[in-house]
Amino acid sequence: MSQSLTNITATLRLLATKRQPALIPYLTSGYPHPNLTLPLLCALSDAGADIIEVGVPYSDPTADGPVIQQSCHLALTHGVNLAQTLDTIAAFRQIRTTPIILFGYVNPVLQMGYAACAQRCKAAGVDGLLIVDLPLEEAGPLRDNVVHWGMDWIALWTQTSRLQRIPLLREVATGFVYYVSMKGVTGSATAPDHETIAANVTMLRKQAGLPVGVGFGIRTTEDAAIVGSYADAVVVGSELIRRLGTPGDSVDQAFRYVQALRQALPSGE
Amino acid sequence: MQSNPVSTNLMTGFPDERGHFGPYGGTFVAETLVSALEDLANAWKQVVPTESFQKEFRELLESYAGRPTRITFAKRLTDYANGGRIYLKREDLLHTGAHKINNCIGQALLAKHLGKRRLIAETGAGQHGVATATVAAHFGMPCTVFMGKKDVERQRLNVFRMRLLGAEVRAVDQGTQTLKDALNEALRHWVATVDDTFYVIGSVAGPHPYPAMVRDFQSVIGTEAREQMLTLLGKLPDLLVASVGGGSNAIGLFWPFLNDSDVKMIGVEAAGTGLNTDHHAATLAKGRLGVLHGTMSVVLQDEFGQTLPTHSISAGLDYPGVGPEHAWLREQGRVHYDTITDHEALEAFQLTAQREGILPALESSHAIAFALKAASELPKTATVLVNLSGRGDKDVHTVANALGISID
Repeated sequence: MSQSLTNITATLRLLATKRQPALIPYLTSGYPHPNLTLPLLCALSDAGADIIEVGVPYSDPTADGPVIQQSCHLALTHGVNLAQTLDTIAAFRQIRTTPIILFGYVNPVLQMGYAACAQRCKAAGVDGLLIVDLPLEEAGPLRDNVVHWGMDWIALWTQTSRLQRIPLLREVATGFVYYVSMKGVTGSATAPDHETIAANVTMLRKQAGLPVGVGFGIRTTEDAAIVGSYADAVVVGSELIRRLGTPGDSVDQAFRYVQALRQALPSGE
Repeated sequence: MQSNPVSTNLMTGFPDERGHFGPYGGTFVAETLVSALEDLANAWKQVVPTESFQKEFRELLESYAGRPTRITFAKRLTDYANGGRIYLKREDLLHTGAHKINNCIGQALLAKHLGKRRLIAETGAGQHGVATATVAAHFGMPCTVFMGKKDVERQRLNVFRMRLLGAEVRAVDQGTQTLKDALNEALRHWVATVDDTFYVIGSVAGPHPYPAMVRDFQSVIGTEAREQMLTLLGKLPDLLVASVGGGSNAIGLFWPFLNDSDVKMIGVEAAGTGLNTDHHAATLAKGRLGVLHGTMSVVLQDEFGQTLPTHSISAGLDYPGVGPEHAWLREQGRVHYDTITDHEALEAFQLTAQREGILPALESSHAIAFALKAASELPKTATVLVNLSGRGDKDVHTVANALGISID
């Protein structure tokens, strides 16, 4: 099959030639306010984000820690939903090219309809989907729609995932594999054990035949720099959301934080 | 092979390998839990059916929980309905006062077999929390119970009960601060502690294998009842009635009768202040296909897929989801579902107290209320078996409040 590269794969390959890890910040759509989502996305892009994860708020985010839970809760009180999030992404796509991963839970997608959602994601300029409560075994119907439209299906892998499932991972995952670096929900406080994570990332890259991004628990520029030395992408979520919740100009805060992360990451030269 | 007039044998082959009941069920969880659920599913398939496990389970159900439970002919409720004869399956007489203990014993035994050292559970009103804390104390296992902050405030007695039993109760202040959020938080906690911790889910909800496993542990209710009714009457009952929140007491009663095609079954959901209001928990009546807490089933949700708040006078029925097997049994036309309002349940509670000398749990009062209506339309030769899933001592404050009486 000779398909053209997805934007995510093209971005990761280009960075790989420069020996740079991708920086992937996460933003909850509608947090801290729906009016700020578009300016925040632009700020993340301008500060050096290579790919952006946009979270769709959901009432029962079981894989998320308190920080992202509260951001979802607040966004929901502002009436933010999947359709509106796709509108914001479409507006962003008119002015920036940074690839977007839609991050969320399956139920809002199911209510829109798998086929309709995939089609609308494509039309809005989404480049990949990461649905946290669709493990490899349940991914099929939505994943096939997503890949049909030339978008990536970002699959998760964790310390508890068993090697027997690698063939299934190879079948299902495209773009890159998101390695969850700790047992726990997003934003957990435990310090990352870099030696173990690095070994797992190396193994996973080889076994899955895809680049590997690392997320969950990365906060400081130091964490990001170390993870960036062995992973193909560094995902930062809760810490950015936490900063957006503190007083001050959130767009400026987002810009500075992501810029600092970018500067801390290996530059390849 | 036994003759089977039901076109599909609903007692075998469901769920499939991956926990699906037709389009329902499955494992919709974060990747971190996939291996733990796989281990649990293997243990459910391989350990639970063994003679040694079943022997230990049976012995505990007898010596500790108080099985078998009796069948009581409700003579004065029958007179009141003036129709079919009403029988009660007395799960209210079990240790801790409800059917919940059957499942907790089963899961705690399985936890031991899997080498897990501690138990966690979610609870709404506190009944499943108390049952889990009880079993944890019996087995000498540490126990943490997650409970919505609002429920902690509303159910102080049960919170204290759990603490007396040595459990830690964690108030959950996320979301709506009720049962669904307690379940969310228990899942989150389990993700981080999956190595040494067993999550005791209290209903036939949640990811595979919980719906099927909890059903198997609770089916002792129906297995006993089937034999008892045959001994008592020489025939099977014509109608089974049970309340449905998540649906564990109902599945427990119904399942062993699924292939008895002459036995009708009705699951009763909570209509709260009415199905035409926003204050109910009638998931099957008013919900749509959706994913909640790791399973595909019917969910009370808005058009965007956000879970809706629920209401019932009975905390045990106050849940926006329902077990996937119930959704499947409804689709197969094997079980029918109906609803009863707060008001009707409260009336049935008082009637049962005054005419039978039994305080039924408000959950079970929904089933009794429906059974009274159904019996009144049946001939006097017909028999109705109601699952009296729990006792109502826990509900006296709620009932007093609803009747506008102060007992503090």
